[in-house]
Amino acid sequence: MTERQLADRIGTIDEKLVSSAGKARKKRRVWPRITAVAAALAVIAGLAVYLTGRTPAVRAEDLMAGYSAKTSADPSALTEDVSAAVAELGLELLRADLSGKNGLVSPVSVASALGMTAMGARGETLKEMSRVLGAEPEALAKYLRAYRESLNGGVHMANSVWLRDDPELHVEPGFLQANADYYSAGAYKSAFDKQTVEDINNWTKTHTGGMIDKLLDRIPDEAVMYLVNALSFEAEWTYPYKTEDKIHSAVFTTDDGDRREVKMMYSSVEDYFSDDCAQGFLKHYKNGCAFAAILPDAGVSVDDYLASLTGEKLRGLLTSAGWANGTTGIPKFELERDYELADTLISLGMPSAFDIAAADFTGMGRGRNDANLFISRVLHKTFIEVGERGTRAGAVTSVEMTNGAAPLDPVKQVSVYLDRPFIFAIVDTATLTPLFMGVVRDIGK
Amino acid sequence: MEDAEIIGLYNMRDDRAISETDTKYGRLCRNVAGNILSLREDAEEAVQDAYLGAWNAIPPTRPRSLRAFMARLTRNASLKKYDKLTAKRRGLACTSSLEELSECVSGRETPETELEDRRVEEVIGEFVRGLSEEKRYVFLRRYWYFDPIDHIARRTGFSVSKVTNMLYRLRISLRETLLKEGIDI
Repeated sequence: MTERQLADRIGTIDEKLVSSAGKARKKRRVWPRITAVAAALAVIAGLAVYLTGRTPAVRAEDLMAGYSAKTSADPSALTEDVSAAVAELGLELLRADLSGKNGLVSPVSVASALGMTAMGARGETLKEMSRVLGAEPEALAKYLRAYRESLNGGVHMANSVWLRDDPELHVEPGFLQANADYYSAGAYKSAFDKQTVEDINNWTKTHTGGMIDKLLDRIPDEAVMYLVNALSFEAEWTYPYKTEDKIHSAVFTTDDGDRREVKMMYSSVEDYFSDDCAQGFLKHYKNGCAFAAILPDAGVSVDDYLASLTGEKLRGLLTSAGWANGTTGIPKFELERDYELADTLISLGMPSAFDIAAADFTGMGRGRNDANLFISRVLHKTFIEVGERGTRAGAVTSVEMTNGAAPLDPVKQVSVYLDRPFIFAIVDTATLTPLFMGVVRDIGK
Repeated sequence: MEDAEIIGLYNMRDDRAISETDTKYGRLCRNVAGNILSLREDAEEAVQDAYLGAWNAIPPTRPRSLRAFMARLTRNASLKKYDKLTAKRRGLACTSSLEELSECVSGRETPETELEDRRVEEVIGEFVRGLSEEKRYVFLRRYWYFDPIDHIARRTGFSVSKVTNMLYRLRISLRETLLKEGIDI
């Protein structure tokens, strides 16, 4: 059958159906898949078994037994403002990393762990955290809740709260309730000994699909609470690089002019975008997410470009993506990063949360001898592997408390080969929520 | 004017039927034709052919929905013109939609028999009916009305890439359905 014959036959479709599609349709940003939190928790537990092949060995007491969600997910909470704020947070974290290494952060994971923590912040601490997060804790929580509920296959996200089993630690029931309501967070009380380290690491491993197997080495004596988010992403390309002729050796040139050999994966352009000093493309995954790559023009350093990028600008670039003829090349690569974000978050404008005297987490609780709770560390670990079949990526963040479419351009002929430093992101194409963001400065041999 | 009144004008052979159809459905028809043919004058000719088609068909035909009937006549007239223009290699707007549809079929011309045609039409009809509301909408806008993808994105509020991805999956699904039903694609 030819495409014209098929088009003719499609033309015979029942006129009632055709007529219904001829009318204007109410816009919807996402298809909500709203389920009760209880159901979501059951799914997460099921996934844990699926991902590891065994039940996670968490031996701590589950404090959430008495709590259930009092709200349901609201798809209208998936606003562009919060999406851009989460992207902005990711960009700030990437920019703050001055190590010169490849960068990889998960904006959604950091926003989730800090968002859970912010549910207990009050006063100046709350104001500063809201400013850095780019949204009020409730708006962020509602966004992340609605986003979790709308997740497509291959993306799993889980949250948990770990409390030291100490009769002198007082945790506000409202804080746990809020985290159960919005973050579906399991809460575990335990001794904060070696077994707890093992439990938290097991939980992390389970919920990152084994990609990050260790979050903690030890628990400091003063730590009383961990608020943890884990995220795993595993998806195949919509158009995989099936055959060997799509993959060739190529040279990746660093900003310093060093030449590295990489395996470059070539395919036709799916969605192309550009601005004054960069071009890029989206390569789609089967689960509704996409790998977004931005290649600054020759002569523009990746750091200069990163410095000019904002969450809103990134969003604008991605939504402007349209058709073009041409070829793209993505190098096969694997990255792993490990951050302690306290200094970065202080410099971004939330010093009070880390200050033993100034921190106000009275909405969360009080420590031993009525001591003030404050954040001592924010650990963030990430991993990504980009290959011919698709991408695997994982992230975990823990807060330790002592916690449109724009019009298409005319069809262009383009070629975008990521053979020099570039910026990338894995985004959900329905909400443009950035799951991961990174900078590749040096890869290959 | 209500559809029934316009159809009444056709039945009485009153040529105001054409102008009333144009007033009510002219924009729809020009959109459909414009999605298939790039040049305005080609699209306009197709719309006029559709009006002539309606004049010749009613009576005896009595359309259940004049909107769908006019859209279908315009689609058919535009595709007929498309075939002529393809031979002359003139710029055409619906080429990308048709190229996408080529992923569902072999590209080899199959003999058209009435029985086989009806069977294919039934399978495609069932396929479309079985889709969720969103998917059906996106499918019909792309392959029935030949809307550009960015227009569909604007109509639905989905991103361009989401629509592209949905269409890709729908094409795979349609191909699988045709094969499963034993259709010679």
